[in-house]
Amino acid sequence: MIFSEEVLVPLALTLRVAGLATLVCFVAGVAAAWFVARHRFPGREVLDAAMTLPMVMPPTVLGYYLIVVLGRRGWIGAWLNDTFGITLMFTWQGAVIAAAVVAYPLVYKAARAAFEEVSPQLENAARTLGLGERQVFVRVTLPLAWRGILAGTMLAFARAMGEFGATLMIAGSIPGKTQTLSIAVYEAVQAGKDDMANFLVLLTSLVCIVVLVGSGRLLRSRQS
Amino acid sequence: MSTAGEVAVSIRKRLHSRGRAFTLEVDFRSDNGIVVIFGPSGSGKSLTLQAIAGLLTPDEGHIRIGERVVFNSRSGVDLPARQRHVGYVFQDYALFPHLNVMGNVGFPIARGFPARLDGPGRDRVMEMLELFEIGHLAAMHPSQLSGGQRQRVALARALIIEPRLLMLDEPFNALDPLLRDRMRNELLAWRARFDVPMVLITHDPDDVAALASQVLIYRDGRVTGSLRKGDLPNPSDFQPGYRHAVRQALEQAMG
Repeated sequence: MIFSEEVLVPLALTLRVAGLATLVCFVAGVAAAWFVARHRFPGREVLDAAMTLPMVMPPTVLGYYLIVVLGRRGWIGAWLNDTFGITLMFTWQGAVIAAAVVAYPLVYKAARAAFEEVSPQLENAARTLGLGERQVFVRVTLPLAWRGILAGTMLAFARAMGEFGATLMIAGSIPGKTQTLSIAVYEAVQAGKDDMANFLVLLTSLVCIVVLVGSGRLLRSRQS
Repeated sequence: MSTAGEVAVSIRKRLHSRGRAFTLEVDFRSDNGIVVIFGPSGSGKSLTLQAIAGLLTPDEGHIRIGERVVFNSRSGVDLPARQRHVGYVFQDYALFPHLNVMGNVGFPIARGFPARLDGPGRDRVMEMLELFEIGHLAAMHPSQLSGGQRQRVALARALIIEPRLLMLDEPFNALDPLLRDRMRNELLAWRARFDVPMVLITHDPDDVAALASQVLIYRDGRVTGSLRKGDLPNPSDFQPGYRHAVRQALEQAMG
């Protein structure tokens, strides 16, 4: 059963979707976190709340918002369709976007906390020692914050892997195309394929546990 | 008179923190020796150093270090901190916790990505560490060092850039009282060795007694008094009661 297409195809799709979604979260989340942590501007906490919202909102509600924005008649969806002929609905790329939105707060929150723990005095010291802003970020801020960022990124990956609600609404459940592991579990249970469901559940649990243990280790070694 | 080591500051900065307004408005010229800014905490001493270093932008005024204008609000000059060549020893020393002593002192001269020290760079750092008698600590991390050792690392790091001015924020505050006298004497020796003008801030009259060639007295964001070496009692005249005499002179100057 391990090597059957029924398992390998959703597993590969899930890893690809979660991996890409994590990459998107990482870039956007770290950039936004650095900006919010190091700048004072009006509406700062509102922006922070908006970027944390996906963590507390039901994934189906997020999925609905995404349909409104990215659907064939959505604000961005219609434009993408008319200009480039691109449709995101019921594609694996749509699943990436859904997973990225749901996992984003985990990277953003962790990165913001990590950046805020870096004393601005250390960055100032680097400036007086002749470093430009980019160098300060690369040689002081990032090395001191990376453990927290990495831990958040691993959590985001685990969250993206398990994404169900928003993904189902945007990408549906097309075997071999948009059916990820967590959706395949649901389908297997619905179809009464208990063995398959058991196996998929074990596989998913295993990957998530590995990721959680890994991120926990990173956070602990930061404190020591 | 040469202006080589002179610092001229005339700045104004309004600040608001937690609903409290504070105005820093200071105007002074330092000589070539050790200028001690003396005053209670919250009187604007650190803000002045930050403005000189380029970490705080004044609303108006000008700052000159030696012959170099680093800030002038009228002509729009505002050099970034990295171009001011000011050595800054922060109150908590601000050593980089992710780097060992070699990495900290070599930080300004490390190059590339990831930043590393080349052979001559390492030699230069080692030479500096030997000078500060911390060569044996090269592989240690800041968290493993004592207060006095951290201070030496911070000084070595600030001086390796060959600064035009060295600024120290309450340098002896974090030290054991018994260690302070020793570090004051060493600071005088390094001042002579590196021939760099210094600005030092403190609220300890003993620092004034031991180090100052000029004293600026701060209160509420203003310079309320200034003493030159000649205004202070001569150390040789007052051997046992010298510190007491300095305290009296400071109190008098503060009114």
